[in-house]
Amino acid sequence: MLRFLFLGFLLAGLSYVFLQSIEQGRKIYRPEDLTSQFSLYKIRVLGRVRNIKKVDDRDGFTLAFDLVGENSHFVKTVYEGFKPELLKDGVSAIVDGDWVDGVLIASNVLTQCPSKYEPNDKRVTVENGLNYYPDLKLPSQSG
Amino acid sequence: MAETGWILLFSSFVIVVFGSVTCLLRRLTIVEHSIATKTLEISSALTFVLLIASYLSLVWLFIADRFDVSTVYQYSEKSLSLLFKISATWSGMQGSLLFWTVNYVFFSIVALRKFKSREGHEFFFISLVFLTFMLVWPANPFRYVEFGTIPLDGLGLNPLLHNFYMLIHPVLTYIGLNSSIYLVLKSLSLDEKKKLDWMELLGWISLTSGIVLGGYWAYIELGWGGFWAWDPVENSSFVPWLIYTAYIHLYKYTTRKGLFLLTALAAHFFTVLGTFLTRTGLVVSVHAFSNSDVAYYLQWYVYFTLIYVVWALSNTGILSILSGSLFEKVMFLKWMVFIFYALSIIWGVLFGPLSEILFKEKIFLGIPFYESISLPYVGALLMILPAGIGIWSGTIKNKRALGASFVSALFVVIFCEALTKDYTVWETTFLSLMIFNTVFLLTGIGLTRNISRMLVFAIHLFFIVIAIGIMFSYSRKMEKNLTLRKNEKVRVFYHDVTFKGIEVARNSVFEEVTAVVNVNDSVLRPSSRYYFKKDQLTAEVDIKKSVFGDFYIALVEIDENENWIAVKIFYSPFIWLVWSGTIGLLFSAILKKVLTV
Repeated sequence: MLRFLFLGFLLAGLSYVFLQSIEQGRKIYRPEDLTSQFSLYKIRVLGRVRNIKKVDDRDGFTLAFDLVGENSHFVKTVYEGFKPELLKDGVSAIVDGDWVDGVLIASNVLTQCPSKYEPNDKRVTVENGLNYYPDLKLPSQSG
Repeated sequence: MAETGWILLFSSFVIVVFGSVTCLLRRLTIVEHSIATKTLEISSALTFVLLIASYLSLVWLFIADRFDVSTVYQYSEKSLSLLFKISATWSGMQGSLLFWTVNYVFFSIVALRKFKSREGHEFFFISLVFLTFMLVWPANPFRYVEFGTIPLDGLGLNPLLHNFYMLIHPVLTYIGLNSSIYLVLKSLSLDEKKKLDWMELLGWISLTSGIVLGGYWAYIELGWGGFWAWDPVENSSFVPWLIYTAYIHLYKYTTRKGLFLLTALAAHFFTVLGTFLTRTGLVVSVHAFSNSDVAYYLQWYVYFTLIYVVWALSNTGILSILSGSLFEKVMFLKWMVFIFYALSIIWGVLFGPLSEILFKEKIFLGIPFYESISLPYVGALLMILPAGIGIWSGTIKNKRALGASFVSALFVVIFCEALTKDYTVWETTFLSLMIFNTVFLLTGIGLTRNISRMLVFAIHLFFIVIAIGIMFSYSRKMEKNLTLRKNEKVRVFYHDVTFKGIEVARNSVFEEVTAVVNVNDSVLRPSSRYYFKKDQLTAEVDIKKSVFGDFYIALVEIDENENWIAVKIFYSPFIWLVWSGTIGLLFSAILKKVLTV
């Protein structure tokens, strides 16, 4: 009897979790996915930020920026709220909101946490490229 | 020194491959058991020495400002203090993987010395083949920079990581997560499981404090007034913690080896899975946007660990516990709740990639999902806790204890529903359960003269304290964005707030603009820092703490004529219960262990 009760609770719990995941899910898009869509609600969009502008000087600032995806496809984004601390041109952002009439109306903007696992950026430039160890020859690396 | 570090890594890789082959030969009885075991013991010790030496050489490269080494250039700079240069060794992917591996080997070595098992050596060496391979090739921390000249200075640490809590949070979390291998190796041995030992407790304490310190850092540093966002990387530490906690409880009611092994392997598997998710960018997270070179290799490590979990699951005889005593059944129910809560969270984390496979669409599960699944699980734990501890201690038979607890819970219901009418059904339910538990546990402390037993009650009481703090600071948090004009008093969240003026300070690293804000009788100084080298603006919050909660202010913008400032203000009731409850919990756990030695 106890085993049936146990399995019953197990199935009920699993069903609840599965139903909640269907109900609470948000579809993830890139900017280039949106341009062909008419309107979408409760979505999440990933991209890089560009051209941040403050639209309103009064209480409740409004921000406008471009969210850029692959091949420079971008969507105009509007966010009502104060500028998130790490939001600046070029950063990666996650935007939650609604896509209406060609504008992404953001309810939440998340930016990348302080870098932890970024790959080596081979495009960084060296400042004052003077040799620190003039005689040191850089060997080629394995791997 | 960079080449030395790499050679040490490569040597450790060779030794672990040798160790794996020796394990295979021992299993096939091609090599005599005692000779093979002795060889494996020497190999494991040598591996530890080589990896430690490799990590220390990386530390030396950071201290010596060797910016010709790529990972030093990426994450360090000359102006960093010694401690932050050392912490920078684990800031990047490669250095953190090396640090992770050193932790892993440390716990493994200690376990292998104490607990003998054939499978233990096999698990250890094969795991290390994966880890050292990745370190030697795709995630080599000793790689040189790829441009022709040697940089004069590094790119430095992100200013938000220049914080005491970021020094210790990763260390404690890594220690805690990697201690799961100790649980596995102990469980694989034939020794009868009788007592929680110091290494197991150290692992759990490290993981608990690491998670809470990470939350505290987010609270004081990130300016959003919260401490937990159900981000996949955060979940990757919380899931092993849930299973670890379930494991610790096993010592109270069972000696079944199969259950210990399954729980230990589950904790370890989710630790490995967590590091896979964190390092590969498979899931969308504010902590991990990038794909890394190790993804392909790390997935095989995940599969390897999963095989052991499936093997353990098939050997557990898990349902036989249902024919045990009432106490065993109740505690097993608690175990089930912990495990399924952990599985539900992982389901949420992996739902994106899974939905892409199943439904051809990537679907993300955010905070609302985790909130909705947490409520029933936490509610179940709040009901099982007094049952379990009450049966164990006999307090459940004490009518006064039960009566006082029920009356207190009833009073809460009346207060919430009839008197204030300001609480939701969920809040009323949870608050009444928590108050029931609080009174029940306090009564239990009062009824016993055994200090060790008192501390068991205290440990669980501090959990309830933390839960109350989380509930209030989460559900009752107030938030307001507003503009404060100079010398104009504004009433915000029961506080009189007046912006008085601006202070500016500057040094070689940053310029700081501080707003002087009177909040009742206190003066708060939220500021904004601009870091020249990083071209980055950060907000430094200020907090007025009181017994009722935190008044938290973050500076967003300043008028160029200094006539107004834009601020975010949060009020988090009773959030201090979370931090102080954690300190009490950890202190009680250590004291309990000390007194039972």
